[in-house]
Amino acid sequence: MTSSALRLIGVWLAVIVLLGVSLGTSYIPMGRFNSIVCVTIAFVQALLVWTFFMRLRWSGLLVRLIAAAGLIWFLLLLGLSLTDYLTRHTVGS
Amino acid sequence: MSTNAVATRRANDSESEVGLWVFLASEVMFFGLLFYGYTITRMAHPQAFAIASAHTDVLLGSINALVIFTSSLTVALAARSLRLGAQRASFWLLAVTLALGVLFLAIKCYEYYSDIDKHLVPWGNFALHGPLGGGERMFFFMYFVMTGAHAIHLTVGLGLLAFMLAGVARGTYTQKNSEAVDLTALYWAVVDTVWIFLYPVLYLVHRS
Amino acid sequence: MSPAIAEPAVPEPDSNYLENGYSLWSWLTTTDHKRIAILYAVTITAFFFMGGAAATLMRLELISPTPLIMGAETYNKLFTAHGVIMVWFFLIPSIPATLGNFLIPMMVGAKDVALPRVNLLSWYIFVLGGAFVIVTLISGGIDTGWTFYTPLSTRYSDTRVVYGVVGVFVAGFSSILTGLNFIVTVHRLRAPGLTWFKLPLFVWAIYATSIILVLATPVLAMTLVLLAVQRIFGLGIFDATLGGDPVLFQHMFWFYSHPAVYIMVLPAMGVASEVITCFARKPVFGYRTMAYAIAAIAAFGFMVWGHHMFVAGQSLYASLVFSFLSYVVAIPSAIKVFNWTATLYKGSITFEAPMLYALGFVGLFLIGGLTGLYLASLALDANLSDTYFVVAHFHYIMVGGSVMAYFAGIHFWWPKITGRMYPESWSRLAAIVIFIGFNLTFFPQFILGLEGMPRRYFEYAPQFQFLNILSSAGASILAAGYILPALYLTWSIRHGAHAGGNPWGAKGLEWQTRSPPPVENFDIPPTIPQRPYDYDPQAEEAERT
Repeated sequence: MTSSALRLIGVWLAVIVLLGVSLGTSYIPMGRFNSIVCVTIAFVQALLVWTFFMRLRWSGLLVRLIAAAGLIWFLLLLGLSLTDYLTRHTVGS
Repeated sequence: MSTNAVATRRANDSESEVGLWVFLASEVMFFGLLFYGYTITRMAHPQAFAIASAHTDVLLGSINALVIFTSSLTVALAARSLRLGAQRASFWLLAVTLALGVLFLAIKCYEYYSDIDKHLVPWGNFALHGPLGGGERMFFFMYFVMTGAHAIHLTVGLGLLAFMLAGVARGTYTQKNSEAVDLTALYWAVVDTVWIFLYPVLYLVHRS
Repeated sequence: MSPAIAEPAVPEPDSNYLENGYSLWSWLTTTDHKRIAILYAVTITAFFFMGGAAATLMRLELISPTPLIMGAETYNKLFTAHGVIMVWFFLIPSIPATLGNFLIPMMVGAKDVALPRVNLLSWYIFVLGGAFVIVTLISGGIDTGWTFYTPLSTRYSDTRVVYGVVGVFVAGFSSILTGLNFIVTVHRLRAPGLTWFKLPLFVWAIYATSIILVLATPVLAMTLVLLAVQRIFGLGIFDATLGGDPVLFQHMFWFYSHPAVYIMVLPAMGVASEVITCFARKPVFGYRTMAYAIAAIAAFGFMVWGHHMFVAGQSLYASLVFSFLSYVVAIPSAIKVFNWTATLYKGSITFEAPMLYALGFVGLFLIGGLTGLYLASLALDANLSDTYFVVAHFHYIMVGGSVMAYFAGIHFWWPKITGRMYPESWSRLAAIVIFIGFNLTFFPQFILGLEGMPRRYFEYAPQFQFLNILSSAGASILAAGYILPALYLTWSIRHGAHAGGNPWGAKGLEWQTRSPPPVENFDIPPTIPQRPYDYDPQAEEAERT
């Protein structure tokens, strides 16, 4: 098996291990940190999938920009909306 | 070219590849909107969402995560095999991916069936009546919409995989003409990514 | 996948794309971007007249402050139909899917778009979406307004909301595929030597529009899905009785719908740059600035959506942020207006119909844009929101702006598309009639708004009647103005004078080929100019063919 196959399998293993960590830590009461841990792990898993399974590691700049654009625009939707939802009950609003 | 270079293949960013990535960016916005709706609603009803999420079947959800993550590996390996000229290996890896995808859907169907049985469908006879109002209903509204949308995308993926399988078997897709399989693998990886985020957000909100 | 390939076989020498098959089947199965552009043009023209009919009926009713020819329900259904049809089935596809489809491959020196079959698919999807809208109209129409606000749309309306929403949802996929195609085409099919900063601004404009199409439309699609599911099943995340938030729908809806107005205006700006440079015989002033301004408008356009929600219950702090960003997005638009003006300065100006429309565009867009600044102010918007001031503002941009620019483009490229010239006097007359009719229709509405007349009301206080009568009179003139091009343009297809390859003496690769163009656009590969808009105002005599 070439190193490229081993790399893919390694990434898969990492994703599975992270799945286990995510599931496992969810049974440890950490208050709001549970969510933060889970979502962070999800982002890491996604990064692994996009970098190696979707081969962004070896893609040209255009494709990477397009991939980044999707993420950035989603964050824009969420982020600017939070200017409303985080301040709804602030005095003066 | 060494096999490693062929296997990873520095992308020449063909038109179809660029086109598919543009489409994938739009898919991020499709599902992004749903995650956004979920997030805002959960921020307003954190306890109700926690209670409701505890009623999801974390075992089935986790098994499905395992299934789909593995299918993502097998399809990536299938695309790699085809690029290296290993036609038969590619065929079998695509077949395994298809089988795992079907397994995912089967588990999902069973899960929906048991959700209905437990009266977790938010419209109609809903089992959870917390003192916190309709938050539990809204959680399950998003649960069904988001997993439903995901299942639809996955089914489309199954169709693509079947098409690729036939093409590889017939020799239409070969080492020299492997782009369609590459693009299918990319699409499948996005379906996988959605589950990467759906899983903690639906199943792991409050397990402790 | 192979690169863009136009119609099959080897066409006759000197044949053009219109002669490549005369049957309906050859049109319905074409993958030629030029024919697909015409398919779109015919379809959106039909929708334009449908949306216009709705507006005509509304303006007839509004002659009287009390019910005249219809009841309140009907009026609500008319303004909804007018909005849905005009926004999604006319304006959004108008310039991109017709002029964009026809011209982008030619402007980059290619034979076709990157994905020709996807292009044809996008038209069929568009028609399918349109069919759903027609079914909605036939089954009585919907009364929610084109904005589908909850809970009227999800619970209280007893009209066929889901049909209409499905129609828009389906049409959205047409938008996404069109945008996707243009992005790939501009990135991958440019002729050798044609770098980004040699491209016409029309290409920049369509490219920026395509990015908006691809990133914003999916958000609308899923918003409508959430709306439909909530309506069908009776509950959802917008439902206040469950603790949900109806304003969340507005955030989701406007995240798409504000960038949507830039989908409608950026291509218009692209057309204006092409037409003004040609008829002033001058390169555009500040080319790079114009290109960056297009990019800035597209980017900032995504950050201002909350200005539609200042009085909806949005937090004050969010409103402040959105208000500030709304002023910011006005800056690149203003820069473009300055630059068009500077382009005209010391130009050798002539007033053919395309130029009349383009100048009309600049002036009316200016008024629309300035009044947008009024609305971006929180204090003013609190009073002007949901009044006729808003209606006048957006019609100045979308009709005075986008529709005028669409007409400018149709007239400018008509010889290229059809190989015929239209009658010049009639075209100038129509432009003037449209300009007068438009202003008479919509300027009184600014005053009505300032005086407090609410929008979407079918009855109104009697003191508003005079201005409403003026507005309706203007609408009848405007309608006559729109009918004129329908007549003389159609007439010119058979009877217009034959046009040469470059009747305007314009720069741009599309003018280096025959009119109508050959199937694969160029008989010989076009010459890439040193710089775009290579006009020389001193030497304009020699340029005219």
